[in-house]
Amino acid sequence: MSSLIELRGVSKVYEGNEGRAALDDVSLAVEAGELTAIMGPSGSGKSTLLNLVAGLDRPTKGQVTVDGVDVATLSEARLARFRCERFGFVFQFFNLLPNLTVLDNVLLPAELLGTRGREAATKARDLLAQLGIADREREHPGRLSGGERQRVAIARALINRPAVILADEPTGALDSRSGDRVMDLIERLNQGGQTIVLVTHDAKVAGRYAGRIVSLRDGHIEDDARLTSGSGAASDLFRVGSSGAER
Amino acid sequence: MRAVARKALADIRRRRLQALIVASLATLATVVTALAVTLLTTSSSPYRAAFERQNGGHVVAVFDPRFASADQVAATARGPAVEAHGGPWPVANLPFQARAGKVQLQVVARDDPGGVDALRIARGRWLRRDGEIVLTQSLAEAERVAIGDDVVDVGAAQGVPLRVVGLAFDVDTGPYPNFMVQPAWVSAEQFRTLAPPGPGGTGYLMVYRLRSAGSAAAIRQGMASIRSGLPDGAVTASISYLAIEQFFDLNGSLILTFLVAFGVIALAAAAAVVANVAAGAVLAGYREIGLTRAIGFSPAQSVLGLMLTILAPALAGAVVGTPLGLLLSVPLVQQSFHALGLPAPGVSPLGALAGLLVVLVVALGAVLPAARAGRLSPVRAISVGSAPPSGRTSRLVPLLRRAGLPRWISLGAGDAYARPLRGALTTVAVLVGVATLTFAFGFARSLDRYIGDTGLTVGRGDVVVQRLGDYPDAAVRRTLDDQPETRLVVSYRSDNLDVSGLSDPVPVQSWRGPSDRLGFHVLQGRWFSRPGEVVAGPAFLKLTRLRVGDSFDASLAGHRSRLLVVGSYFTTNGLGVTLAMDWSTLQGFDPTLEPEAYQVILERGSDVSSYVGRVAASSPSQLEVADLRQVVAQQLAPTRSSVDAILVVLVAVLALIAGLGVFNAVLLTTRERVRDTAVLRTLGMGPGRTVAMVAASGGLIGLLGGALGAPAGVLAYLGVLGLVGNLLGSPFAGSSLDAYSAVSLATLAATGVLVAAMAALLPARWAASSRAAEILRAE
Repeated sequence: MSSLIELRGVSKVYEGNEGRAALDDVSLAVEAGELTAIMGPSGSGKSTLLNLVAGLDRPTKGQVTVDGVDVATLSEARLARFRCERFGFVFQFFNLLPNLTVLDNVLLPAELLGTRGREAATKARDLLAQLGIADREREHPGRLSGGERQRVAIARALINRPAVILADEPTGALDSRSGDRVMDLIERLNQGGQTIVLVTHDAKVAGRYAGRIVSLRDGHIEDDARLTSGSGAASDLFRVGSSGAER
Repeated sequence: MRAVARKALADIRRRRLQALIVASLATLATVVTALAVTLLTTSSSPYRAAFERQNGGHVVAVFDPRFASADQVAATARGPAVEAHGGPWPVANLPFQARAGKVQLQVVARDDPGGVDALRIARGRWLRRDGEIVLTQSLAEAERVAIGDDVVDVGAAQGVPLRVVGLAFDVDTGPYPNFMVQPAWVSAEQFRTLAPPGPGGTGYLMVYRLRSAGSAAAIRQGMASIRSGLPDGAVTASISYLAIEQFFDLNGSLILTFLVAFGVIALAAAAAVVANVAAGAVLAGYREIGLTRAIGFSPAQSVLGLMLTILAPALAGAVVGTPLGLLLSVPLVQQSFHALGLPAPGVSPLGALAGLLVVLVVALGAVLPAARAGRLSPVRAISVGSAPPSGRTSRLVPLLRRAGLPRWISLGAGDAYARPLRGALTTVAVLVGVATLTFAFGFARSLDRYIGDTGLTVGRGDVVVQRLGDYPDAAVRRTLDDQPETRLVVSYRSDNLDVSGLSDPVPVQSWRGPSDRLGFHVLQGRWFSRPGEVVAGPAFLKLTRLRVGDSFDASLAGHRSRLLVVGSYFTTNGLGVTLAMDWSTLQGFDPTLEPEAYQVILERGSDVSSYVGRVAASSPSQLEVADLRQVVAQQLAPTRSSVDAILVVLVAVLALIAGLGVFNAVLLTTRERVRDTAVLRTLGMGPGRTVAMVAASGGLIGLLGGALGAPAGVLAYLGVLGLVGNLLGSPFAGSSLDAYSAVSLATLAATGVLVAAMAALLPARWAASSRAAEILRAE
């Protein structure tokens, strides 16, 4: 069975980087329903990997396939639509549009997809209610707390029922309590079957919530371990790196 | 100071696009300003210079020998008002065949070209013997007559050829074709062979220099003194140098009106856009300004630094724009100087100051935003890292969304006024561009209609036939009646009426036939319908303080009559100081007079050129037959080409300023919204929608600027039309020229959107092709 996301021999070299690869010959497969954490120090290639998966960038070498589609074969316009249909995004700094209300922000991806107004609005309100911020729908993001903003961002990410949620340091701008609440939310989504790829530098977060941890260093996969149980204990890690399975 | 200059230079190098925008604005504004200043400083001087150089006559008068003998005419020069004189010279209006066609010449018997109204020879030489003729340069150029060509008198002395030996500048007559009857000079002996027999066909020409001639009133007084003691009808025509100067300056005055008005507007629009550029520079360099302040730049140095980044490119733009503007002015100025035989002047030093004026205006536009840079708190600027957002969410966004626009369009359009001052200044620039285009469209269209609707000039007609010499009136009528295409013939002649209370005779056209069908535009009252009734040009009524319904005394050919003003009509003949009356009224003065010309209206669908050829062939030498519209168009051609050239320059400049304004504003907004745009593209907004979003911000500005600019342009058009009407002596009724329709106004307003959308396209494409991933990572 093919994976939901597949990277095969992917390299990415940026211009002016003295030939150094941000990602170097990376192969990775993410299955549907997984919560995969991508970890690594600054400059390890985490964001690059996320951007390549999302089609925001194109690999210098190799192939990126999402839901069976090679993203490199899509034009910019089709890629934008593909991204809108298949992915939901949660950013470290929320990236809500300040000029729009909470509800309008959540509706954005649905509007880009052409979902009818009433249907989209109903979905958006449902999501906001599920996330406990239905009463804030008419507010602008500037009046919300960090945790509330991130919940809006999560609602926005879910409105089109995407195949994959890409979360880039979703708790990075939050205090620990808000961060825990957001991660609990993400975990619940995953338990409901949502595939999530999470970029984080926080080992505790990765260990506690992720079912699989991929560690990057200098553009390579240093480690790739699946947790055998939900406990997240380091001893329960089942490694699936390039060195093969081992216990 | 060195540090400030070094930083400013580095900023200019780094923000090349901003520098280019400012330099371009300065160039455009300088071109228009230099053009205006040059024309302003040179337009009135060439005629005066030529006039004084040639010892011109303040008044030129023609006397009828039936009412004043040569001695009596000569005696007028001994009056207290006269300082010097030329003449009396015998004079007669005679038809000649030149190379391109027939022309009416005012032939003057003059052996000496010097003295008062000294004639300056442009080419060739003065007369040496009989059989020679000297023409005016303006006539010779228009009719393509060269030195050595023969012109043939086709009047009473049939077929007398005269060799053209010289072309002269006569400062006491206006240029051809504005003045259709040009002087020409022959020897006194030659004149005797040309002049028609009897006293009626000739006159005496006198030229006077008056002791007091600084104003029209002084000249009128001088003329009244000259005429005193002479019987009625003695003076058949007179004109002052001030009136001739007005004709020379007419084109220049018209063009100057546009240039001064739109030059000021161009400066204002450029200042508005520069203010936006400077404000944008402050916003973009917020953190950097904070850093420089932290390391030791004083507030004044911050202000100076920013001003330098704006003024240096402005100065460069002004340096490029000044010679361009002066160069553009050359053909316009040369036209006037050439007509007077003067060498075109060199570069006006005042024209060169235009660039400095523009730099000053740019400095004014930049000073307030620059002052803001000086007031910045360095700590806040560094810690915040970027300019505070506009501080308010755009109310436009939900409004536009409710209007049913797609999200990306409402977001983009909502950005247009997120920074209200920026939006307002950019709207002003677009408004000015659209207003200029609307004005130019209306004016050009009006000029077209003025040329095309001969009811506004010479009366409707397809063909005009001039009867030359003693060719019988009955023969002309027979020829015209014999043509199957002839629908209507109305004939006329031009004379000068002595009006009581006026020192100069007034031109009058007498019409034989149903002249009310010639489509003259009656402004007040009605067209004449009975003997003794006249219609007057508005300037005549103003001069005489008469109104419709008043009567006045007038004489012609020694006969006096009381005339009733029944109406006022649009006419630029004699700059509006003119009359029209029925043939029966003329016959009350002199029943022997015959028509000089015939205006013919043909049946619909007739071939005008074939008709012209056929009628001309009936008497090739004594009939001058022409397509009436072509004659009018030829007369107005110099004005038309000058006005067209200026309008093109104005529209191009103001449209470019508008485009630069929108480009700059959209670019600034795009840069400020770069992160939001990256988020939207990440969420799935494709390149096409990104372009549409960014273009919408420019589009809304274009829509508002256009909606306001079109009516503003109409107002400018009406204002300028009023000024032109004043210049020409007849007010233009807007409806008579009918320049705009609802469709044309809507299209003109829509050009604001077009200009704005085109200007926004480049920043839009940059936004669509920017790397969203990099932008989001860079945060």
